Amino acid sequence: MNLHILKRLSAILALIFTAGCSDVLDISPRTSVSPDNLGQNEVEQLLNGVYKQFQNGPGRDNVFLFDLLGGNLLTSNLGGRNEFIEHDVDADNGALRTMWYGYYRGIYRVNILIETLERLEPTPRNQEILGIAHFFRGYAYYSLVTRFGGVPILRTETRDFVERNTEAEVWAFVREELEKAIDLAPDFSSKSDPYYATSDAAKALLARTALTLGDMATATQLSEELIESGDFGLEDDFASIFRSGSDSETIFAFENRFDEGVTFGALFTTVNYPTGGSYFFVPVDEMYDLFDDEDLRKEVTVSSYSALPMVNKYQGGLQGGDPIIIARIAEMYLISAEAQGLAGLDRLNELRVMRGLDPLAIADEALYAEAVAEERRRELAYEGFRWYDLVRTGKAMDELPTVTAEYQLRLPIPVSELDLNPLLEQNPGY
Amino acid sequence: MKKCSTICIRSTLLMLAFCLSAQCFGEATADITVTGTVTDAETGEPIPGVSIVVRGTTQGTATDGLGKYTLTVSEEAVLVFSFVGYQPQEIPVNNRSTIDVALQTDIQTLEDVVVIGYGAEKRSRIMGSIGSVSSESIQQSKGIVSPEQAIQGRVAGVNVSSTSGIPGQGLRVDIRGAASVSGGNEPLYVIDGVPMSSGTESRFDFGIPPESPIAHLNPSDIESIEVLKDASAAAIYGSRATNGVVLITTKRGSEGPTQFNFSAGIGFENVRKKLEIASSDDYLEVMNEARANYNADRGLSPGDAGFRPPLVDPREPGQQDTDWFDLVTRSYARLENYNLSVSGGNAKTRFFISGEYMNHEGIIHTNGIDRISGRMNLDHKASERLDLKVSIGLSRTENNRIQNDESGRGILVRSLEQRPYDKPFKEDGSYTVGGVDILRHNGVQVINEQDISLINHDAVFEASASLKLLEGLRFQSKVGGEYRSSHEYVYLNANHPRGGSGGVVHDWRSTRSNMLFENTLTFEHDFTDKLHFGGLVGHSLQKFIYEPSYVSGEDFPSPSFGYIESAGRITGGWTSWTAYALESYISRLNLNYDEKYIVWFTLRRDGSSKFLGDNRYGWFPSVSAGWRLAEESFIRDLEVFSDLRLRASYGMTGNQAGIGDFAAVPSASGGENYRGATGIAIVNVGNPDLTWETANQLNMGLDAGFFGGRLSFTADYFIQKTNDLLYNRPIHTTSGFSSTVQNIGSMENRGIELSIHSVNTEGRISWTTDFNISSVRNELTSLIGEPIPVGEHHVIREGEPLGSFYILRQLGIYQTNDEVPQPQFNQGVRAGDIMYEDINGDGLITSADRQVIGSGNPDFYGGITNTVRFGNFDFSAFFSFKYGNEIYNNWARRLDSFGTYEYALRADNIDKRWTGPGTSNSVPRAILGNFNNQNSTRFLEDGSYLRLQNVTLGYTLPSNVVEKIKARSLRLSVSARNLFTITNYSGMDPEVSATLSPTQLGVDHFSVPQLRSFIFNLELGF
Repeated sequence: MNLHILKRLSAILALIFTAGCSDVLDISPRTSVSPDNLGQNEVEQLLNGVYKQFQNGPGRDNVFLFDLLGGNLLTSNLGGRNEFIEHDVDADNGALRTMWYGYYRGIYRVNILIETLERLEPTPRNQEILGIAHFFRGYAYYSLVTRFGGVPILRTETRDFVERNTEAEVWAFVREELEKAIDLAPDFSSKSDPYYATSDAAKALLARTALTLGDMATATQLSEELIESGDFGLEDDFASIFRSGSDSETIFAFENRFDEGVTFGALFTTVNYPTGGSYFFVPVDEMYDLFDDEDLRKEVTVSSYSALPMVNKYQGGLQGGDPIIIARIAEMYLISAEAQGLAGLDRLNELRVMRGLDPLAIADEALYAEAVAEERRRELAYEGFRWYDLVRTGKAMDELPTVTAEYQLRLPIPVSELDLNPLLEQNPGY
Repeated sequence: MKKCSTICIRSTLLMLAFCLSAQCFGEATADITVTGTVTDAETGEPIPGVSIVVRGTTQGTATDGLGKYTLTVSEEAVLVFSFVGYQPQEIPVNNRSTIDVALQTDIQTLEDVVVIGYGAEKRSRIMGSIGSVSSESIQQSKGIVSPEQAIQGRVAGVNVSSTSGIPGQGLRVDIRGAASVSGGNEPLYVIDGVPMSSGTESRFDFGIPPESPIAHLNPSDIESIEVLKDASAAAIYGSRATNGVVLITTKRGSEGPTQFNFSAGIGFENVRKKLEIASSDDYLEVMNEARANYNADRGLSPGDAGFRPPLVDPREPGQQDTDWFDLVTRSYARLENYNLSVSGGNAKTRFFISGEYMNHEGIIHTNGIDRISGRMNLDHKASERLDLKVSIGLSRTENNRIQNDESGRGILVRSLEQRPYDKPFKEDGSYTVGGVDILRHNGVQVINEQDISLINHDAVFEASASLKLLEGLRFQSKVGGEYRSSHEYVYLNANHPRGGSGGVVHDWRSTRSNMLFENTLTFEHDFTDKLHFGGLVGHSLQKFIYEPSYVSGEDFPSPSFGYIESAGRITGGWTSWTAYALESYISRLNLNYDEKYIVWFTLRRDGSSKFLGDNRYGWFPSVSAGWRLAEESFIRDLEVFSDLRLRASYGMTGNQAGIGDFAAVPSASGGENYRGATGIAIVNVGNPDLTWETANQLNMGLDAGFFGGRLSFTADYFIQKTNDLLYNRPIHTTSGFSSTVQNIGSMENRGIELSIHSVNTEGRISWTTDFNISSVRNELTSLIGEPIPVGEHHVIREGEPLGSFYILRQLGIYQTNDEVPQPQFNQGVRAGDIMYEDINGDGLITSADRQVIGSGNPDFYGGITNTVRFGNFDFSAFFSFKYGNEIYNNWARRLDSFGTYEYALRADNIDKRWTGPGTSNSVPRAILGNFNNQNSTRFLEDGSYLRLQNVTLGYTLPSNVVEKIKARSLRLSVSARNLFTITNYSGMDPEVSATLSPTQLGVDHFSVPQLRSFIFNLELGF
């Protein structure tokens, strides 16, 4: 081997083994950041991520789940069979899993937000955000407990297997969280923008919780506070509540913009509706009979399009943009009316008059309770109330022919969760 | 990569400089005319079509139909006589004017040299397990779109299955069983030495598996396909080799006169078997029986709350039932392809140039794929030391996709589900509306009012320079790559059921780059005349970059506008970027003593950007050894074996596919916006411990040949153990996540493969048979944590194979109410409902009663090909078979629902339903509700089949006829695919699967079935 060839060979070997660039394998993502770097600059962004998750995560059926379960809806041909309407819910129902995951993913985001805040200076804004975080955790557990009963309470994020807490523990936690939110979250009046969570939203949710738990004093106190606050008022134009824009009733809603949100309204609008639709669900006939003709809510709630029955509260269709209302002042009138018993008749009548109806004169407590319940069904139809109203008042089995056993009053824990977490136990009967 | 690409450019320029300075063409003088006859040395018969070339030039001719030739050459020229199947001969002219030649047949020519990773080697010296498919059998596979279809049933141990009859869709290519649980388990495809990226551009979920990653390649351009099956063959590809490696080599020019080859194929396809739908009368009878049973169970009469009134017959007098299947399908789909290649060259420069047009319609209206492709492969000997080589393939593929399966929109299944009396049009000619007038979205409307296309532009290239440094020492430098620009366009106009008020456009565009820079040094040395040694060392860098973007818009002025420019509003848009890189050191050493004892070692070190820290680099070694007994005198003396070899290999391969480029890195992503304000969230917790999935494979093989090679067989036994399986594992969502990528456990594949080649008769009638059969047993040997349910029907569980079904077991039908356990009775279960096995004995049927029952994996599979030639005719028949796999007939949950849903009913089963004690113990009664419709063995069927995959009859015109049209050769043939299939499966076709994933094998969501096709071909050489 002569020198010339040796030189050439060594040059080639050098080329082979130095061609490797040591940094060629260090490729970093360009569409995300490391969570270790989350700090003050990211707090507002994390909060937006929380809103986004609770707005979209639990899925579009979740918005009116309690109307499906509560006998307010039937499926159209396109909707196919619906297990919620039939009260024959399989634990492997996909929508069910979406709800569970949607809420727990939201809780994870809240916990990350709270843990990030704990590392930072407690500035006034940080404290407000902490309050909003507690509101969302309370909201998430309220939603979970009314669907599944006792569920695991997570005060910090964890990847451990977790056991279910009791239903009572979850209710207590909901109260705790909402009370913190009332303390810390900003007031509605600071921005007067119903698309952000406030201490008023926490009050509304706590009033609802107290009513469920039979704490009528708290329910009355909080609902009256909100009614008297002057920040909200019953709306002359009932339809405006459900069209994005300004109305005086909404305490808190997700804006659910068309480019960010879920197009749940499309499940009601017909395929040939101006904004398009998927037309999965139609009102039960009973809903049309529930409203007197002079009731201003009637046409806004149930109507028809090209001779087909249609829920009319949400008109965004496939173009979306229907706000997801979490709490509005009319519910506070109804909570106050219910919590006070007959003493709340005035609140009931104030609402009825605003809706174009005559005031009622009732002296019997039981008849009054029935009147309030019927008014709730009318007022809050397709806003996700009916089922739990029947459950908390013990009337689900009487009112709904397909609810024949106690176990049906809770939804099953998604089977995928049971499969993946050995500590979780299924609700009895499933 | 910057530094590296500079080096790339520099070395390419260097090569160019070499090329330019070299003298490229030789010279020749001519002054003598030579004539002669070429005959077969054994039979003495003349051989037409033998190529005769003056060595070192392009000058030459071919023998005519009588084996005669005439050629004018220089006196001192050397003539090279060559023909497929014969040993070539070189004969100096030496001033003679008549040269007659007798050619010796060469039974081994076709399998002489085999392409292996980073090189080529004589087959007799290879001790790993490699399956080969020649260009001849690729040519036989007429009417195929992508090359992996040519492998189907041809190679032992390779299980190729289509998921539907939609042209251009991806196939599942499973080499020796599923070796990993992530992704599609697809092998690594290497085209002319360039490993391809495996990504897909089809982003819209149409219920069709992603397109084939090599669908851009014209099958006619392929010279050979080699499937590297065992670790010793594949380990040289290290971290990407666990699922096997498929090496594709394209055709190159050979020295000789310029040859033109033209081929044309035209054919049509149709549906082999249609699914019969029950008439409206039968439908109404069953549906109303279900209602009557429901009311009777609950004691409901008309007027009661919850009473279900019978369906009213909506038909007008004399109304015919609608055949929805006919409405959405073509009566036959056309397919055509035209291919022209030109090749030739001289001693210094050789070329192969080809062009192709292929168009293949699908059976659903508007579905189809077409491709225009071109290729140029050049070889140039710049000097005695320097060889240069360039291969470039360009193509444009347009795929008009269609909604398939159960993706919520599947055209075929949704059409079949329409009630038999539903009509596509109203009286006024407008579409009937899904959910309003008819049950499902109107398939006719969907097809007519959408415009869907996926257009890929692909460029695959390699350029290399090989420099001889010393005798037995060569240096090769290669740059290569793959560029793809892709555009997926979905326009649902305002008249489409999902088109909203003014139409919706989804528009994805992406570019994908794959860049390779590779340098190798190969060496060869004979220490003694018996001890031969060879091998290579090398370094390779490969980087993959993918940049997708998306925009959507709505509200177009009219259906004739379809671009975002004219959209009323833009409803979404994003761009993104991802990349990964591999850096590798490659080495191989082989020792060969007297062609009897052969040992190979390979070692590769791979580094991947997907892994962090110490987990980044991995070693992948292998060793193989063989003993060629046929070369031993004591075997030779037996005079029984023409070949006898024992082989064994052991090695380690890796896998990193199926996980994201940044799966190891925790990350908070944007896009979580609320009210237009930026939002972020932690979307990936990351897993810094993530590491390579590795597979250790042991292979033992035996090759034997008898009767001078007329009968030969190859048998292999292997055990592959995969450890640190990578899987995007579903986790309990209280964690905030639904899954994380983890190394979850280990798996084992054990199998045997056998292939037999037999030359049954020779001479005037030659008849050969090729047979292969394989059996692979897969088992998940360990799993960290709980069993993992996958989708609705499967589970990943220790001790079971991947793709195991996890469902309820149907024991029978309750014949009387007394048989129904009380807890079920309380839930409404009655006589005529399904008796499921109650595993936990709680009296109820719940998810806790699911069990592992069967799987989508076959017990064995293979193929058999018979080829017969008699005179100018040739005939081949190719059967493929699979045995022992189950299919979950998911669509039957709707079309056999008898009341759970209101969809149409399959005709076959309605008369078998339970109507009273003793009427049926398998098909339940008609009833509203879901109890009988749960995932259970009721819908699990045997998926075994035997299929006549291809029959071809060809006729080669006699050369005296061909000469009259101044051509070299002309062959006419007709082929048929899927003429018949023998199967017990009740669906339209047993070769279906909703996904390519090995964890979810064998579910039929009612895909478009495999079609039967007839194709007429013409092959002209001149």
